[in-house]
Amino acid sequence: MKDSLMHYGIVFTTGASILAIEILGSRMIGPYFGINLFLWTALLSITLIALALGYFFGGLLADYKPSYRVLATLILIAALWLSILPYITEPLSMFSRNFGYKFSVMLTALCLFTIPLSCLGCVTPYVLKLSVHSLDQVATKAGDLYAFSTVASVLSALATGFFFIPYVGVKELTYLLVLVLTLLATLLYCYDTKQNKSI
Amino acid sequence: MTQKKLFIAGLLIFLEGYCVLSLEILGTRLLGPAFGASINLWAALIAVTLLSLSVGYSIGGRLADRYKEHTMLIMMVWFSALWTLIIPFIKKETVEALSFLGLKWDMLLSAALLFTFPLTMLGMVTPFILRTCVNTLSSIGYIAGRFYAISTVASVFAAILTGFFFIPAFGTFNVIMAVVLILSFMSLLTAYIYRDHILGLPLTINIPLILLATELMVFNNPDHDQRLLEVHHSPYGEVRVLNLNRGKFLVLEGEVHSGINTYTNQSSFLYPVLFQTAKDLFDQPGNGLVIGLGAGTTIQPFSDANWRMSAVEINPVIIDMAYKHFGIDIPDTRIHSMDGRRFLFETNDSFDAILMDAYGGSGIPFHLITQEVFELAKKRLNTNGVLGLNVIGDGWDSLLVHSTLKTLELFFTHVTALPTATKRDNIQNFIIFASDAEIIPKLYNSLRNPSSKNNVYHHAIARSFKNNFSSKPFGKILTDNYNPADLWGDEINFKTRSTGQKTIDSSLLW
Repeated sequence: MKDSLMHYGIVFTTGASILAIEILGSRMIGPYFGINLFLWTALLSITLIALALGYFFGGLLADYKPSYRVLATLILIAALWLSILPYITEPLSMFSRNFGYKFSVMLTALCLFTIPLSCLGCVTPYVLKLSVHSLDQVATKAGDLYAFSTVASVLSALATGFFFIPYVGVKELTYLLVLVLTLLATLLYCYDTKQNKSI
Repeated sequence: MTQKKLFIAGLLIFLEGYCVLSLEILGTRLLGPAFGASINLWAALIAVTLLSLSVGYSIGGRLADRYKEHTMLIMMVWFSALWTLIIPFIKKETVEALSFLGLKWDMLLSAALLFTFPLTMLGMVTPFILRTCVNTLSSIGYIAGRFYAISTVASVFAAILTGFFFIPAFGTFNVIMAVVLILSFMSLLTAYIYRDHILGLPLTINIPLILLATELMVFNNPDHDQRLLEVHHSPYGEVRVLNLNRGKFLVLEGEVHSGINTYTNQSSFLYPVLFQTAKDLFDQPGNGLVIGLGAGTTIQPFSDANWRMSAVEINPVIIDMAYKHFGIDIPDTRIHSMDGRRFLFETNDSFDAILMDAYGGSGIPFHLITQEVFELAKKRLNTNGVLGLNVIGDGWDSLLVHSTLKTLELFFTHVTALPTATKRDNIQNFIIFASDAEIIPKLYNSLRNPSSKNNVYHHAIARSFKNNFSSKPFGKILTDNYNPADLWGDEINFKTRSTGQKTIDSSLLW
C-alpha cells in the first residue's frame, strides 16, 4: 500500500513536470522565434517524440534492470539538464537562427528539451514494472498509472499557464522544477539504499 | 500472440493516438470562431482531452482485467466514431444552449460535452490491447513502453498534419469525417484481433457509418450566403470576408477585425484613423512599418499620402485577402509574411513610424508587448521617430494599457494613450504613441489645418486628443520573463465577445 502510494507520487510529479516544461518552453524560446503555430507544433512534436523515446527505452531498461537507483538517476539527469536551460537558451537560439526559420525552431526545441523529457518519459513504464507483481493486474495498474500521470499533467498545464508563468516568472518556475525533481531523486536513492539493507 | 497480430495491435494503437490528437486540434478549430482561439480555449481543450484519456485509461484497465469479452471494445470504438460524426452538426446548438453560463463556462462545458465521450472511449483502447498482448510478466515493460511510444508518435503526426496540411487543404468538416472513417476502420481491426474475422456484428454496424461519412464528405455543402465572400481555414485560424450594406469586413476567428466603407473606401472604425495622425508629426512623408496588416486600413492611408510603407503579417491568407478585397496597393515585395519581432530583429531598414497593430482578435501575442521588443523597435526608429500601438483595453484605467505605457516609458520620453470612446469604462481601442519628440502639442496644431477640418472624423479625433492620458503607478513593467499581458488580453477578449457583436448576424461569423 505504502509502495503503491509512492508509485503514484512518482508518476504524479514527473507527469506534472513534463507539461510544465513544455509550456515553459514556449516562453523560453518564444522571444526568439515568435509565438505562433510553428513554435507550438515544434514544441508539441519534440515533447511527444521525447516521451515516445522515453517510453520505449524506459520499458526496455525496466525489463533489464528494475531498480529504484536507476529510476532516481534518470530523474536527476532531467533536473540537472533543466538547471542549465536558462543559460543555454539564448546562445543556442541565436546560433540556430542561421538555419532557416522552421528548421531552427525545431532544432532549438530538440536540443533544449529532448533529454529532460525523454528521461521523464522513462519513468512511467519503469514504475509500472516496479509495481506489477502478477499478470492479473497489468491492465488495471497500467491504466491507473497513466491516468494519474495525465491528471498531473492537466493540473500542471493549468497552473503553469495561468499562475506560474504570468505571476511568478519563467526562470523562477524552472528552478522550482529543478528543486522538486532533485528532491524526488534523493528520496528514491534513500529508499533504494534502505531496501537493499533490509534484504 | 502471433507476430501478425502484434503488428495489427500496433497499428490500432497508432490510429488511436492519431485520432486523439486530431480531435483535440479539430476542437480548437470548431470552437475557435465562437470563443477566439485563445490560451483559455487551448487550456480547456487540453484539460478535456487529458482528463478524458485518464478516465479512459483507468476504466479501460479495470474492464480489461475483469472481462475477456471483446464485443465491448468493438462497440466502444464504434460509438466514438458515431459520436464524432455528430459533433459538427450539434456544435452550434451546444454552444448556444450553454450561453447562459457566461462565455468562459460555456467554452469549457461545450468542449467537455462535445469531446469527452469519444476521447474517453479512445483512452480505453490502450489498456485493453495491452492486456491481450502481454503473456508473461517479464515482457510488460517492453510491450507497455512500445505501445505508449507508438501512440505518442502517432500524435506527433496528427499534430503536424492536421493543423498544417489537412485543415487548410480540405476544411474542418472533411477532416472530421476522415477521423470518423479511421475510427470505423479501427473498430473492424479490433474485431480482427479478437476473432480473426470481421463478419457479423462488426461489419453490420460499421458499413452504414462508413457510407454515411463518405457521403457527407462528398455532398455536404455549407449553407451558401451571398454576403459571405470568403471562408478560409488557414494555419492561423479561420479567416472570413463579409460584404454587408455598410461595407466589407475582415473576420478572424469569429471576431470582426477591421472593415472599410465601400462607398468612401475609408476605415469603418476609428482606430486606424487615429493612427494616421502620426503623419502630422512629420513635415515630409517618411518610411513606415506596420506590424499586423489586417485588412490594410492602417497602412493604405499612409501609402496614399506618399509614405514608403512596409508591412509584416504572419498569416499569408490575410495578405491575400487584403489585396483581393480591401484594395491595398503596396508592392508585395514590401509585405513580409513572418513574425513581427523576428522581422524587427532581422531588418536593416530604419523607419520614421512603426505601427504595431497585432494585438486583439483572439488575444495578445505576449512577445510583442515586452520591454525587449520595445527596445528592439526603438533601435529601428530614426531619431524622433514614433512608435504607435493599437491596444484594446477595458476602460481608461485598464491594467493592460497602463502597463504598456509604463513599459514604453523605459525607452521613450513622451508616451501617451488616446482613447477611442467617450465613456471611460467601456472596452475600447487605445492608440498609444511613444516618441522622444513631443507628440500631443504637434498633433493639436495639425488639427487646425483646413484639410483636417474636412475629415469626417475630425470631431472624434479632437475628442480623443482631449482625453489623452499617460501612465498611472499601478501599471507593471512587462518583460519576456514576467508578462501576464496575454491573460489580461484574454479577459478583455471574453468581455468583448459577450457584450459586442450584436450588430452582425452571428451565422455569418462562424
